[in-house]
Amino acid sequence: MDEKYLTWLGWVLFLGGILFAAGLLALAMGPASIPLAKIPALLWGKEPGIEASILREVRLPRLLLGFAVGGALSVSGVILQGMFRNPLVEPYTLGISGGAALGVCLAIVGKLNRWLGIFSLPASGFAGAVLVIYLVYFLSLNKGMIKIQGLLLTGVMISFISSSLIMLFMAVSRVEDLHGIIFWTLGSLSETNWTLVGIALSASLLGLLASYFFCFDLNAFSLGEEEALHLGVNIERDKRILFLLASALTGLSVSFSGIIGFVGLVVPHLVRMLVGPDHRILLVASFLLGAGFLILCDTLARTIIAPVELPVGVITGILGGGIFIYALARSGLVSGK
Amino acid sequence: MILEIENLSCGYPGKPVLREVSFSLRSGEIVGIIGPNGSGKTTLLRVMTKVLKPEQGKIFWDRSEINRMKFGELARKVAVVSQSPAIDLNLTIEDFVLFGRFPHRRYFQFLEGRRDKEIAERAMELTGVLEIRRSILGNLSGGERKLALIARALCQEPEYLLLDEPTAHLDITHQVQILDLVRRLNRREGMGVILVLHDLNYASEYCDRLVLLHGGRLSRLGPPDEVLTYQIIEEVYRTTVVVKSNPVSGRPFIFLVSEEEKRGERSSPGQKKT
Repeated sequence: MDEKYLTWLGWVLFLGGILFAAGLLALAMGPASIPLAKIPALLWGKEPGIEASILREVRLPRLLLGFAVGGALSVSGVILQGMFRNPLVEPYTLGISGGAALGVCLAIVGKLNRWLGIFSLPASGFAGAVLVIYLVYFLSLNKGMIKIQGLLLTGVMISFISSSLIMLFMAVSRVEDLHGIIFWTLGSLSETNWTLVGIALSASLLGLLASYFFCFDLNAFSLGEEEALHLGVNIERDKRILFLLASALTGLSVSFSGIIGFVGLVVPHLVRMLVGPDHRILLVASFLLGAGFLILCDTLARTIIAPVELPVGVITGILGGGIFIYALARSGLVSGK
Repeated sequence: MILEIENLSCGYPGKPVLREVSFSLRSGEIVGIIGPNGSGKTTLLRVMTKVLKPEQGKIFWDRSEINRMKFGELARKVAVVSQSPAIDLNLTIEDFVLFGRFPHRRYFQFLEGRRDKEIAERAMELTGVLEIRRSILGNLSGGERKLALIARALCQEPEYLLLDEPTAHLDITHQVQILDLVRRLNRREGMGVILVLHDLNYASEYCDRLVLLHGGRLSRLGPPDEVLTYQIIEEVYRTTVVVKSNPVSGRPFIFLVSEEEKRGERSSPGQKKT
């Protein structure tokens, strides 16, 4: 087989290994630590007991949600970075996460679940995300060209506006809604409803699959839109589809776990340095590392000052914000190069 | 006829560029598009490749109207070598050239087949970058980069090759190397070639026919010795020139005449006029 494909296979195995290790760690660590050796028996065994139910009803759904959300946010980041050809673009910095959170918040306050049931939050998160991505795109479109600085600034401003609106809703909402809204603005993986975890998992994997059909298109985009067009890419159609895909992945993630910033920035950035710019490997590798990264961050958030649980968005925010500043300084955007 | 342009007008918002241009080109020739800055050369290239939409008029490639062709269909017929696209990617030449297989790929095909590799290899061989196939694009010199771009275009297996100022920013070694390559592709591989050129002497030397644009309109269309006369050049470029024939090829060669020389004043270097 080709040397290139062998290298890719190696990366997939390596990152898959990291993901597996992160998963084991997440299952073992917590207020009640469970020895690694006992985990398989407890997960698949029939024996009842505290440890088994902690594993099956608390840690496993949480692990799977982390897998789904981490992967989805990373794939969304790869898509957006590929289309805009900029490593600083991601769902959070473009304001898509904020828009999704605003949608979710509206759904909580407006009691949308009376009509839509369990789907009210995913649906409104998706709607908010789509709305914001088009808003940001058209606001930063200047004579048919996207200015990346304008795009990022508009995104950050939209984030501010959405969080202010969320605060407005918090100020006027009832106490029982308040808790739900705070939960979504901080980001947490503590959703343990198996139906929702199942939806998140399948949506995330479907998103990866769908985006993989655009791996060559994204490769072509990396040469610039005009070059992509010369290669036969229908860029306007692709942009529409990819925007929808990125916002669907982000909107769903936010509706299940709230705003978890910078995963979609840090992970694709790192992975690009490791495996190179070809989206055929970039998408898969980012999904794997993103899933592992978020599971690790969540384990850290659960255990660092146990028994108090930190919101996972705090951990990714601190880590990711630092890496964002580093990437910004390196890209020369700050120094005006 | 390979390319027919009928009554084409086109431009950018608030700024018309091409006005009522009509011409047609035969197959198997090297055609140069020339004209002063802002005369619409690059715009013509962009509208011919569906980057820009015409405001009015029609364009046909091999009798297919361009708006009815899908982007992939056009990319299999016409490949474009842009002037200086940003390709500072961390990619090897080989991987970059393989991007040219994009319009030929099938759904559910995610890895390159043997045929794709053979075509890429041949494209790199023709352009002379086969030895440096593992070099990273960002580290190449301007000339090598241009050759890599041409290799990628050839990897599309096009019938027509469009090049936008292929000699810009290159030394004469690479300029001649690239234009010789283009001529070889035309004469031996039967590829139709359209070149946008600034340098009139290169246009004269390498092109079979020239399209001269002036202020967005077609000024002349014909072989170099009909288009490149001193009357026409002075009318379009508003510069005094002397046209002689190149002693080697017999084609027109254009000498520049400075304004001072024209008035018969000859000043020595560094001397202030009194």
